[in-house]
Amino acid sequence: MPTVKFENGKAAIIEDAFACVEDDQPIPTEGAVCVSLERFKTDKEAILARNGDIGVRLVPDDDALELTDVIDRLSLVEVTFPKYTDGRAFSQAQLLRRRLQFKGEVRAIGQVLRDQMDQMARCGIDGFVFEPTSGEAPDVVENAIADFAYAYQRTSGAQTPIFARRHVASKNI
Amino acid sequence: MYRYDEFDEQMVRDRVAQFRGQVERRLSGELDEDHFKPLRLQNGVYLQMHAYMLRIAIPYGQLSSKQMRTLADVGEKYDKGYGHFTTRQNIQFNWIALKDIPTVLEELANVEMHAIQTSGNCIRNVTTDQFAGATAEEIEDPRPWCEIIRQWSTFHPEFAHLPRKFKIAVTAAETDRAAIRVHDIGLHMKHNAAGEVGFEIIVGGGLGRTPIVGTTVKDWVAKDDILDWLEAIMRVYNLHGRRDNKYKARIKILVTELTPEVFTKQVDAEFEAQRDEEKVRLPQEEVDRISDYFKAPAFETLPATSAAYEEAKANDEGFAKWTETNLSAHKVDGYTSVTVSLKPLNVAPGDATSAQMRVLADIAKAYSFDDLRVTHIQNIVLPHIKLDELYNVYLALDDAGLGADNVDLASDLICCPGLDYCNLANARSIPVAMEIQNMFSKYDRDLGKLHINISGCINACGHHHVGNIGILGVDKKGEEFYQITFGGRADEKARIGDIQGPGLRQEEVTPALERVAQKYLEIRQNSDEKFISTLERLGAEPFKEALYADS
Repeated sequence: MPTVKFENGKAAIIEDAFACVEDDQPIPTEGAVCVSLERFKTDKEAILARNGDIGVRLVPDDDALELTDVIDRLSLVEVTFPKYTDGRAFSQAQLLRRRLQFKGEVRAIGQVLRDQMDQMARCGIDGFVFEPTSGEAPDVVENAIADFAYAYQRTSGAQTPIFARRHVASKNI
Repeated sequence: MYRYDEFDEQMVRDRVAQFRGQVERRLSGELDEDHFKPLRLQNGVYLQMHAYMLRIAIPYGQLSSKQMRTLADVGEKYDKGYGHFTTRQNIQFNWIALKDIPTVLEELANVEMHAIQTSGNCIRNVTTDQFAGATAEEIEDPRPWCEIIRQWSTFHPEFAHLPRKFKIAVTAAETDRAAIRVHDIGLHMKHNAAGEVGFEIIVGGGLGRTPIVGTTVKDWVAKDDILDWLEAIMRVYNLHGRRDNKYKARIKILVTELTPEVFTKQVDAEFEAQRDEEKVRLPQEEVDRISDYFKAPAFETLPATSAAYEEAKANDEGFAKWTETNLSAHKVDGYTSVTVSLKPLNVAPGDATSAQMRVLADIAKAYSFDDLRVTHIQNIVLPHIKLDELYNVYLALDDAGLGADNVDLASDLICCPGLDYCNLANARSIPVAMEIQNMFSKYDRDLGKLHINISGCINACGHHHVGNIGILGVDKKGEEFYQITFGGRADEKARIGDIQGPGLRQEEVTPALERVAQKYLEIRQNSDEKFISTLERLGAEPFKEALYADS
């Protein structure tokens, strides 16, 4: 499945550099890896000590705030949509971006559908792993994110909320 | 009332285009029904027994005459010439073709209307007191905050896929006409000790399978903080609300399972943890801008009484009777708020024809500062009518079949569409409602204020739990039975009614309720003691006896 990165208004397919390490597999000595939060907590020292970028995979039951003290060491956090109707990853992404000020990639995995991508992007998700039902994957992401010109809320996305646009002269923004 | 600016306009236009694309993908087969369902549900489109149903948002129940006329047109062009006003202060059309829906939404967008978040597991249309801006009881007009919450909740990306639907109601009066204690969040605008206006936050009320009266989690929070508190509550719910069982997914279950104390602690912790950059920080200019739209219209200085009104009452008995039930005190002398009953006999409660909608629009334009409200009791309010002009209003209403004089009486009941329309229903509710109305219409004035609520299934769209008398249709081995509850109320003394015993057959319901009514007339202290007061004074026993006297 392609991984699409959305950056500066453009979407592009990227090479997934992170080896996804299952909980029962050994962690390779070299290269970027992505592990579950559980595994990360168990082997935290070893993972932090090794060479290579670190990614952590969250499932909806995970508390994203458990990453607070290591957030600057991470390059990737994957958030999971087991079903697109399970919206917990939206809150996890917001916590990562806004509470923990995570600057790396927040990547959506699981059931990642075109019609939720705008919401995902606005919660700070900038990586999308999905198989398009039609068209090219980067076009799907760009079109989905272009559905709405404005947003009412101040969220993780770069958008200025409508209430602030209305009062550009205000010092309060 | 609020008017869209370029941004609001663009949001709705973008939504129409997006939904048109989704419908096209569905009709072409690119989307199957499973994947289309959550998309249409976020836009008020349900698949019902006979057709798609479209639910249109009426934010906090307020409409202009132009909007009401558009609803009339939609009813005529795309439905069967009528619409159904709901307990959510919205309207729904039951016979719309899917292919027409994007065009309907475009026509709605032309008058600043939409169907955004009228269904689905998201924050729904915010509701409020139908007399907002007209009643002297409120400490201030709650509508600016309803509009602020509408904008904040519209396409909030974090809360688009909650465990379950989420309803917020606001009131600024002590008399609660918005049923805030049986909402997921109820906001009660009130003063703190310093005399500032803020919000009491009540969380976890609701009806459905597990009816619960909400708990106060914050006695008072400042206006500046209200959206941050809402974000905190919503995030705790989104992350921790149950998703394993849709019947246990509402916030009321989370609050109950955690206990209100623990839930409140989690919300407090989330609020405290918000960094400054996470705060919504709505500029005061924006609060002022929105508030300006709700300034009082240009009321005239009038005497408190009107000779024309008194004379008409003396000469027209029907009018005089109507004024006894359908008027509410207005904050300005010489004005009154009129409730137009959508509960005449032999009409599905809450239904209005397109012709009636146009009459209501005309009256609102000519006599009520272009302002109409939908109530959660499924009636329409003309909030600002001059007493001098009341008789003309009455005549126009009566001429259109809108002169029913039964507001808050037994025949002014709440009723869901039931098995006649709804996929979820176990039993019919409209025929039962009509029968009860016919029986009570003979003497409902003697009975005084009495709220009867009817639901055709346990999902409780007819709010049966909070009816003084509640009726719940259930299916037992293919036969419809009706369970009766007593003692419910949705107001500031909100209470869930108690089930009295075994369900009744449809033909037994009306005679049984008639016996209950007769018992009440027999044992009440005087004609000023309402049914609910007699019930609360004496307990349910005498009424229960009457209910089952025949079995």
